[in-house]
Amino acid sequence: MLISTAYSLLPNKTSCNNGEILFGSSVSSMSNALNQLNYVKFLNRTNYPIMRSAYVPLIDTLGYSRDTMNSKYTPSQGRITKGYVESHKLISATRLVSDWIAVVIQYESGSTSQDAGSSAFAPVIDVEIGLLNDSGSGYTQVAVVDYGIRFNSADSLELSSETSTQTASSYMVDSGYIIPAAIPTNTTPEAPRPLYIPNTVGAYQARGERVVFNISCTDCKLKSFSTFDLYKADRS
Amino acid sequence: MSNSYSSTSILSDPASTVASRQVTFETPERMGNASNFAFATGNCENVLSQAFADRCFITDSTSYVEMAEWRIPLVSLEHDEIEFIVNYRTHGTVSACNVRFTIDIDGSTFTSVLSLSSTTNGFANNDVTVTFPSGTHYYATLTMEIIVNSGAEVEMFSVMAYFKRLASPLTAGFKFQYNNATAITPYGINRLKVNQAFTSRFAHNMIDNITELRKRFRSLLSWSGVYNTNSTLFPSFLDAAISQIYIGVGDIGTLLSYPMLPSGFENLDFDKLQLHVKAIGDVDFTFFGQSLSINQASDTTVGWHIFDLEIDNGELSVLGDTRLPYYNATFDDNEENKTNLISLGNLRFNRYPPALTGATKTTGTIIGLTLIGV
Repeated sequence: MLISTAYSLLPNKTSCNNGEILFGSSVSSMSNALNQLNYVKFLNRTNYPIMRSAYVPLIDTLGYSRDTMNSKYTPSQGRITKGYVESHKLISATRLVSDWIAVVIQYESGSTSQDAGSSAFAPVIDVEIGLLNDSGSGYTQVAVVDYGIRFNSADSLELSSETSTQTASSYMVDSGYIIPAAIPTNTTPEAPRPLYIPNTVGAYQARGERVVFNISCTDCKLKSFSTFDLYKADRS
Repeated sequence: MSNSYSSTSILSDPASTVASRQVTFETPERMGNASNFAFATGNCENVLSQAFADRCFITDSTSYVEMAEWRIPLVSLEHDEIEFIVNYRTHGTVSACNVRFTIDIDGSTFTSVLSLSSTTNGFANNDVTVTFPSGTHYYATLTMEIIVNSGAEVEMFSVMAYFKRLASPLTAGFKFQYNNATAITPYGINRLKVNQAFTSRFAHNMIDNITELRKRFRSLLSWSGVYNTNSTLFPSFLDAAISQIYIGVGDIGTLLSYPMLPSGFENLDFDKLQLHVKAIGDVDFTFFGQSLSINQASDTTVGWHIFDLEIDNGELSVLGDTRLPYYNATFDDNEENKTNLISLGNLRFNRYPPALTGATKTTGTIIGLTLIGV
């Protein structure tokens, strides 16, 4: 059945009073509204802004103290050198009906005068989902839920064209919304696609539990990371 | 009668009750199930999400100091258990390092302490059960403090919090979302099975439930400056403890949030998109197409302020590839923001809070920001 995204008008309550003839469309409107709640409004989402060092070489050069480096003065923080790597573990509390998840990533790449296809500078972002479980002594990752996807220059990642200042623009990249025909079975990161959470992983319940997005960046820095349970217009 | 729910049967077919179609009992049964499910689980996800890199969030404080503060939306007055999870590591010789979260709901405070011992890259978690004071409450203020033993330091990588969903079956009786004025009525699923009466009460309660659940806020952006960083082990500016405290011009167009504004959103006649701002002194700024003004008692006054945002269609742009009308809400690229937010031409020479008392060097700044929407 089709899932309406809109906040449609609800029936007038008097049309449902005792003694009134209840038309099917009233019940249909309520049914539509409930489906909109559970499969549109309450779709899971997370949005992680990544705070980075406010260090500014110019302020340092001018002799100001550390206390003056306290804000984000430019869109870019720069200082990405060839071979730079970083990783992040970002946690999400999923829904019992979470399955396909889109990710939207804001990142800053390294600087080079080379083309994106050059091996001189090759930004890569890997995204994997792990399952967290607390057996009484705190959360640990107990399984890989989805071995995930890899963004690189061949799959949308861009390079900055600045070469002198090591500052760069912020770029956006996303996994897309095209749901694959089959459940992913890859064991290493593959080309970008929506990520998948099965109902169970091994002996563990996965949907409705806490998962961790393990993100590895090479030659680039993560600026923000957002996830969206994918809307499906047709469900059954 | 059991107010149960199951995630596997919450789809009810709107087409099964239209003219000339036979009403099937599965439809009202699934509607009751869907209503219970939405109330019990809707927005039981991250109400706080923020991450930190470059060792910018690090402390060596041997007494509890406030590191950050956020606003978070409540789920309902029934969802009273909140869990905190942090990803972190310690440095130095560790014997007693803790992070303490304090949740403040209109003056009623509850704390949760997480013990930190990982020397690599670990998780810590704890939860707390809150008791809601009487009245209307739809948000809480969440403060994070850290203490370490002498010789140790804590580096924070990410922070999240969420309210735990209610278990099935829901307890009997009316449920309340943000106040006691309008109730949400759970459905006894056994009363909706085959050959049960399809009552007027069913429909009235369903309309009330849907209306209330549409009001439930979700967290779209949670950002706090990190206030009290310091590191003895990494004394160089380049290495650590240079956290962002104030919103700056670099956040224009880069501190992103994605409100979902589907058709019909503008017709909802209740609070539906709110920006909560923690500021020092007075500050004027523009966010999501709206010029907002904070006026406080003095240059050293620190407080939270709430703005109801309207949709400015001229400012909207759809975020692609998510299949739903998510829009990009951020600080606008305009003269007001370029002038008033912190920049190299508008520096603050002190960090909040140590220099706050008796000083004006931190005034006119934003140090916390939360966007919530239905």
